[in-house]
Amino acid sequence: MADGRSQPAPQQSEPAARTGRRLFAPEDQAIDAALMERVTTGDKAALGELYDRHAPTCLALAMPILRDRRLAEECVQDLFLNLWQRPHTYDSQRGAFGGWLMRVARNRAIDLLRRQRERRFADFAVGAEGTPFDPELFLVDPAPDPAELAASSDTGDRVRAALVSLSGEQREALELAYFGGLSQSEIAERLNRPLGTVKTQIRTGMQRLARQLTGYRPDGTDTE
Amino acid sequence: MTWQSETLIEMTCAEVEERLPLHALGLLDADEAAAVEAHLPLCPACQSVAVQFEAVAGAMPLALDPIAPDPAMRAQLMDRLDSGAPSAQVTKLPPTAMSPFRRLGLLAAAAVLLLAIGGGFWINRLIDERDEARTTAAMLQEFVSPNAVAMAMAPMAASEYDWGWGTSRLFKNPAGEMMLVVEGCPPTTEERRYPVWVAMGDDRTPLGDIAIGEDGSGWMMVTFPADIPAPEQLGVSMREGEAPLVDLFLGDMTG
Ligand SMILES: [Zn+2]
Repeated sequence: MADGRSQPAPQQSEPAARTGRRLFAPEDQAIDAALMERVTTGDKAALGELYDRHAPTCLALAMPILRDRRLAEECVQDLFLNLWQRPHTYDSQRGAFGGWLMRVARNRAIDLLRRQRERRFADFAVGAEGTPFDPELFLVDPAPDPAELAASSDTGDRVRAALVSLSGEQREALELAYFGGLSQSEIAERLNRPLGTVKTQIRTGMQRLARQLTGYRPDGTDTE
Repeated sequence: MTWQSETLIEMTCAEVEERLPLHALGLLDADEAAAVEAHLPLCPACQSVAVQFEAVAGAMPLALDPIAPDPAMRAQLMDRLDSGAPSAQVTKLPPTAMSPFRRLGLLAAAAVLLLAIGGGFWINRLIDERDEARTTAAMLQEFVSPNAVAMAMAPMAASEYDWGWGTSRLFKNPAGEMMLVVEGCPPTTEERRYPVWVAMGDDRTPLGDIAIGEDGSGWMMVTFPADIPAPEQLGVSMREGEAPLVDLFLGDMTG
């Protein structure tokens, strides 16, 4: 990958980084890497291109967490400003840029939410009209044929297919944690399930996703 | 003063692997997260699994329908790029002042990691290999000796997105001296300085700055102010220009 920045001593993480990268299309990774390279030299147009490529997904991620369009827009803008000011915070050894950016975006949105201290989602489990919380609200409807989705080369399709394959309870707990930014005890309270059950459902859900998306095997052997 | 005197929890690979799915989502308690993060740099197998769960966590938003940002926000961002000078929080030190900090910082970081696996032998070997740093290394050994107390400081969300794998710990040696060690920050070509403070309630009292060298680690001796012998919190923050401090690590001293 074209990345001329000086890197920390590789911690024998080359195979690990490769595994994590499988999920993201190589051509997308190459484009992002080239753009990040230009950002480190102070190229504003390159940052603009990264924004155009990734800001819509970042905004889709920040919205359910912050539940406020303006706040979410500001969160995304700050995210990219921060990337401009400190591009070195991305370490290409740790995996694909797209995945890293989404983790950063999510952390930032959750951080912002906590700082706001307006627990805006106090009524998270209940919609505006008192309708029960529906995790489908956060997700695009899966296409009729999950098998077709799973075989798609589009990462989003594959993630959707993997999410659909989870049990309803696993998916609900995992989506509240990931897309809702709720803590495990908050989820337990919302769903009226024991905390230990929620932990197990989130963990098992993540393991199933990893099995389908990265070839993860619980015993550590990596078949693929 | 009471200490949250958890020395670092040692975890087996199985215990770490079991926690990696929740770690990737940022759902672990601070002490569990610290134990996982102490393990990962030393264990290629667990690190490989961690990267897989991180990739899954990073890919999940791609399942969402993208939302086009307001074009005005993009224009405003491009304007802000002009005023946002890169790395506003960087403070340069005279080059002569850097070397010993870095040397000790590196040793401290290594010692922290070695402590995590209980490797007294390796600490000694490390010290032997650093002849010119023998004095400081001896001091370090005292701080990471079995009689010393270590407090893992909780990483704030900001430290995760800015620092990736940064960790911070406060060591107290049997003589009662305290040393703050930060490691795992991204390597840079310039030394950075981050404010360290103690707090009672909302009142924060600065203790000075910790210098983070180009290897991404640093240390400082910590002395509590005479009028605050037992603070409630100890923190490391980041300063960006005139912006308010962003907390990177917080230690609750009242456990
Ligand atoms: Zn391990």
